[in-house]
Amino acid sequence: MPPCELTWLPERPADWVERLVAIDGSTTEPAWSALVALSNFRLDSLGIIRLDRRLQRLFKDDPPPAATGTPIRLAVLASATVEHLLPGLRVAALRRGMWLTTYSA
Amino acid sequence: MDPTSGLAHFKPTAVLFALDARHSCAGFVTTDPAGRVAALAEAWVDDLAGLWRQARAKWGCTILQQALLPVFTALFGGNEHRLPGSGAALVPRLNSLLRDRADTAGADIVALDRQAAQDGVSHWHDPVLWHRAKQEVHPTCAPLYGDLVVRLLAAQQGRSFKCLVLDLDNTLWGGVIGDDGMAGIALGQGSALGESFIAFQAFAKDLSRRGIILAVCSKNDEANAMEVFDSHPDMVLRRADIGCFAVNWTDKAANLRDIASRLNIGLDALVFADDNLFERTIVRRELPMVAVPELPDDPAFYATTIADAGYFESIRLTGEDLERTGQYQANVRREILRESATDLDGYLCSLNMRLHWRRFDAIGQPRIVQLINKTNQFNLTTRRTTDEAVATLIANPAALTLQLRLLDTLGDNGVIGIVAGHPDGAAIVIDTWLMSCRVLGRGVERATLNLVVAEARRLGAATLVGVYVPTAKNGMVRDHYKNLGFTPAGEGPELETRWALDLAQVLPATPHIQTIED
Repeated sequence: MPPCELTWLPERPADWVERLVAIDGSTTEPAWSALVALSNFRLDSLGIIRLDRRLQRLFKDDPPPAATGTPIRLAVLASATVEHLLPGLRVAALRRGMWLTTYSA
Repeated sequence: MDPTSGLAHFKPTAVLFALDARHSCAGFVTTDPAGRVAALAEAWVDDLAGLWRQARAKWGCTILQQALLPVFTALFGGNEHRLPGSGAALVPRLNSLLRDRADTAGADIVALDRQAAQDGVSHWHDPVLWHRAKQEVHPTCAPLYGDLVVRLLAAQQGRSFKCLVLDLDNTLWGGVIGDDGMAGIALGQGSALGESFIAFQAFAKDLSRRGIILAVCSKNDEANAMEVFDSHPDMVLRRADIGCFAVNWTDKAANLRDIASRLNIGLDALVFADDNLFERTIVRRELPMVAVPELPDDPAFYATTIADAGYFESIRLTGEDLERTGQYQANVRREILRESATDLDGYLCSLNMRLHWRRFDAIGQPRIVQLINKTNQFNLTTRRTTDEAVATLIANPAALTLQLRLLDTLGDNGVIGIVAGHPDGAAIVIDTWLMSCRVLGRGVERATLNLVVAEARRLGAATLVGVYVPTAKNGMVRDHYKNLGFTPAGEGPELETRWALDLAQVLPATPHIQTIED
């Protein structure tokens, strides 16, 4: 099994980027469901960053009503660089339909 | 923890302490004697635990602590532990201390060390990136790192999966039972394939022992499939290990709906393991809330794949977890009995139900916290809690608290209900009322209300106020208070409704349930 990969998720389909770009942000619920669906593929770190950018653009400040669970405000208090890990945290929450915002120091 | 800081403004609901190994080990000297290393290590953990306490006191947040990555090269060799001050010896020692302290101080560990041991440290850490950018975790690991953290956050909210649904042919054994017969399927010693399926079954059985419900969803003739469970000498899983069977020719999405309904859990609590790509694809499309792991071609890796996904991430183990499969099986038997009974009252009486109750106490505390944080459906307010908050309730004689356990002729259902309320003038306001869906339709809600009323009267209240806060999952209890005879008493924020009950009135008894104070 390849290490450090989300091996339990199916491979990213060929039209993944097209589907990401095509998400219509004007209506909240379908946009959130589409993002959740696209997060449930075996994404690498570049795919995660790309998905996170779209997520941040559409739902940066407020959790959508369709999000499950209690919204999470996660502070990462670190002694080393962690900024490159924050998109992976937000997308991992998205994968479970949960909304998470981050703060790092 | 400066109150004017960006962190204070952010008001975290969870704090992850992500310390890197080099900074953590900076206070140690390689040649320090064992006694000094031990004292410094204890002091290091004490300092960290102090930070956890401060964060929790300030924000009421949950705490995650990242284990240290084993990034150091060995100085001594195979017996590195004989040089206790070396980084390579220190990291496992500090991680061990962290785990012990986290257990007693209520923090949860992000086990980067274990993951690095599985994947290889060189995949997780690149010294070039450390020297260049102080990135201890390699950017290519960011997706997995995020998942390791978030699965814990989800577990803290009770959002981990609860049930593993298993296909049969080529998932639990090799071959097709309907075609190959008992003697023809690959299962057992003597072939690598047969041993792989045994190992996967053993993994599933161990999951069941720790509280994950197992179910079967297979397109097969039921008699053929059951014969394997009952008679194949190499089967690890037996009929008694499975909480619910759906073996027929109906499509799998419909069967998964049926399994969730019979077990009284949400579809989003199911993980569906099937070797067949076609079935996986259909279920993903029809039921996107069901987790469907991409099983690899070789069954030797089925268990690893499911374990790596972290579906069943847990933060504590209770006695209830260890008895869960038996409880669900008994519930399915109750349901069969109920469906065959022509007289509901007669059926309920035949169950000889005993509702044991006691106020919150330290013994029940872990299960109380677990239930409050994981129950989604029969939960009137879905207010989550912490160990500290429950400890405060235990110590408060003015609080109304009840934990309820239900026993009947078919077994012990375990703790099935939690109620907590606080005084507000002449009223007791019920902040929390949750029950296990397993006991619905048996009059337990009514019996519980009678206990709540008795306790509220003992505390001197004249009125009981119930609160319902709607969520996406608790629609089933929208009319809970109305059904129990409460009258509307206003609305609050977030579509909250409030309901009142005059404690002077006499309430209907529940003769088929005996209530017993423990």
